[in-house]
Amino acid sequence: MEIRALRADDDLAAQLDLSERAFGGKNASERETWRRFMDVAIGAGTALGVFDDGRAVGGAVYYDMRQWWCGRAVPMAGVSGVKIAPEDRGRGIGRQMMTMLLDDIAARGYPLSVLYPATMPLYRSLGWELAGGRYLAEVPSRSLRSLMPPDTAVADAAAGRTRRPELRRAGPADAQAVIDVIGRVHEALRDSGPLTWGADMAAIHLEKPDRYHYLCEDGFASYWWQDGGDKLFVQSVQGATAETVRGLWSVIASHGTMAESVQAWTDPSGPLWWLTAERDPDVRGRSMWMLRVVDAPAAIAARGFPAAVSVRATLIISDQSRPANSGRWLLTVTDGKGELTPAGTGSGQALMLGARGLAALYAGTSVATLRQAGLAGGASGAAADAAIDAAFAATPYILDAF
Amino acid sequence: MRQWWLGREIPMAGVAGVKVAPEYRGRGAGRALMTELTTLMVSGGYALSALYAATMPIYRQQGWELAGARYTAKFPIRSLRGLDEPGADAGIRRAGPADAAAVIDVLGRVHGLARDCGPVTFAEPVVRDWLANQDSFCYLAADGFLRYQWHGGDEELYVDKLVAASARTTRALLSVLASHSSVASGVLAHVSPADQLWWLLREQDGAIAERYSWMLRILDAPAAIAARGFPPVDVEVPLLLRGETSPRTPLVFTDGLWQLSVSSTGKARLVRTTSPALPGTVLELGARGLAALYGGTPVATLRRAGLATGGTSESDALLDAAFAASSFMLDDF
Repeated sequence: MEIRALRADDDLAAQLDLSERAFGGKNASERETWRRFMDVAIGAGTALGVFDDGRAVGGAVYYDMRQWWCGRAVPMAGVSGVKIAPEDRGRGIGRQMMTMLLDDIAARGYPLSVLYPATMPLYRSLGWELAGGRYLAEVPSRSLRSLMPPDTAVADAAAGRTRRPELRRAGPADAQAVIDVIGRVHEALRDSGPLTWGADMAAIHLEKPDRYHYLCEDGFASYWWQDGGDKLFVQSVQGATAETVRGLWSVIASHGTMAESVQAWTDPSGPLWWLTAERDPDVRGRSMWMLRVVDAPAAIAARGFPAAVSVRATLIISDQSRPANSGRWLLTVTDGKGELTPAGTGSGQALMLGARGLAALYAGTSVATLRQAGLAGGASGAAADAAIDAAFAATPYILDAF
Repeated sequence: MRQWWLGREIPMAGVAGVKVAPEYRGRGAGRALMTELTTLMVSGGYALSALYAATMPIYRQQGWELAGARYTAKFPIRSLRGLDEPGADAGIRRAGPADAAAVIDVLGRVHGLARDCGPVTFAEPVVRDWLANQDSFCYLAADGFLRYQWHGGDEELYVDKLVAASARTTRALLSVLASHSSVASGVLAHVSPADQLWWLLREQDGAIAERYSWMLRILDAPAAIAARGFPPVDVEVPLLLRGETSPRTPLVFTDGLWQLSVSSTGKARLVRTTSPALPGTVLELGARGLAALYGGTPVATLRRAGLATGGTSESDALLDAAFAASSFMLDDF
């Protein structure tokens, strides 16, 4: 058995065959997109293949991403396309491959890694844990056509109605501009969870056929037709201000002449829910993604924290696959910044976490829930638990799948 | 009712059954009725009121706003098998009408310990009625409660409530449900979106199937703030609260400049202030914006939805840290 980085001269058809056997068939355009994604990963050396006597039996890739945590961008390795040939499953190949992939992610210095699991036990055994959701909303398009006016109780509400954002169509050449705008939006909103791709990957998305993209100074929208012209599918409507959010939704709403309903990946606490006159938008589903804190001190240092919170608490982390995270740590959060420093061999109250508990905590899962789910132990004290909850509080979401 | 807000219970007037005869609709009867009802709630001393809206404009006009949701999860019942700890005795027993007070006590303790935001507990006569209902099955432990019934013939179980403070009790209550996997195939359950259940399941074969939003009205802002639990954060923020726009609504929402102070003890105060602030530097909220903020809606969302203006990104961050919540309810009414 050989597990190694895929090279440009490897048989990509064999990898495509594995992918279709694992995840379902692809049409010609999806195959083309898949090839271009693979080219990026192979070029970056972040695609692994497993070979048994020269035969391709498995593979996995990760992409270079940035994930926003309380408004700050943290380098994140987005793991995708983890597959083992059906006839070779149950032999422990997946575990060996993912162990190597995790080592590689760590060696390249990523503090975080995220994936959407098809099955969870393997990833849990390597320290990934459920952390946030991808929320699918559905709303009748007519309820987007007359959004609620701004609250008249609030002073300059009338002004917001008249200003419209200057939208322009965006294409592959705008990849970096799109990434920059989305990043600025997440920073301004102090978002937790959403991600941006590298420019090469974003360009591939922007070039997909039959997709429409609009960009303005502080917002971005992307959507396509579904079911002929009956439905519109919204990949993203993101804007930093009321005017931009309304302007982008009005582009979507203009298709209400054809589309009866709109489905959208959405922020569960974003403005859409408050903008419709009636209680029309509903959540149609939530798929949860898993997070791995690969480098605990770096992950804590890189993310944002609420400025109002001060924490000084001891954590005992036990991480078998990334032993550098293990040990007794002092977590301090102050002035919107966090730090994890070695706390020696002292005794006293401490919150005990494995890699999985640490990942779920990082994403805002309350200490009480972690304890109930068996992901945290130790007696840290109710006051420390409450302060830790306040530091990490979030309902993280991602709009993209990978 | 009592509604739980980050570990503390607050008397809450739960509005239900708002109705006008079809042939009398569109003549202002609903608004007059709600105005009168609000006056009653205020004179009854309630600081908060919540409702599930069939239509929203009438409630929004009177200061209610979306503030949380009831989430229904759906998952295959077989996912619940094998979660119980072998040999563990969680002390589960059937509950009947005589246990009403004990059930309310357990629910309150669990929501308090979990520092939940949004769930409610009912008064004893209501709980006694549920416990007497022949169609639903109730189980009680020292720190947990389960209530469910058959749904869709015998295809599914419908779980109204599954709350527990410890992993052992949660697992034991789930295993009561799992025992029905011989007959039922699916489970629908009212859950918190951040429920421990999501982390207890081996595979992600359940998902949120529905989110039914509820609306909140802050009837008495200083009292509602004083009664709510807060995280131990250090927050001092001025707020400009804007009064009602309709002269017909009762003046229970107080127009003017206020100072919100949250301390590291997890308690807050909202007091009138006269200290001059620079125009535009103070966050302005109407009754609707205040209700949504109270429920944990990020200020950036309020701003983008047209429910807040003014303020600074610094004050937004302070308010978000104070009110942060994914508010939910398990009951409707």
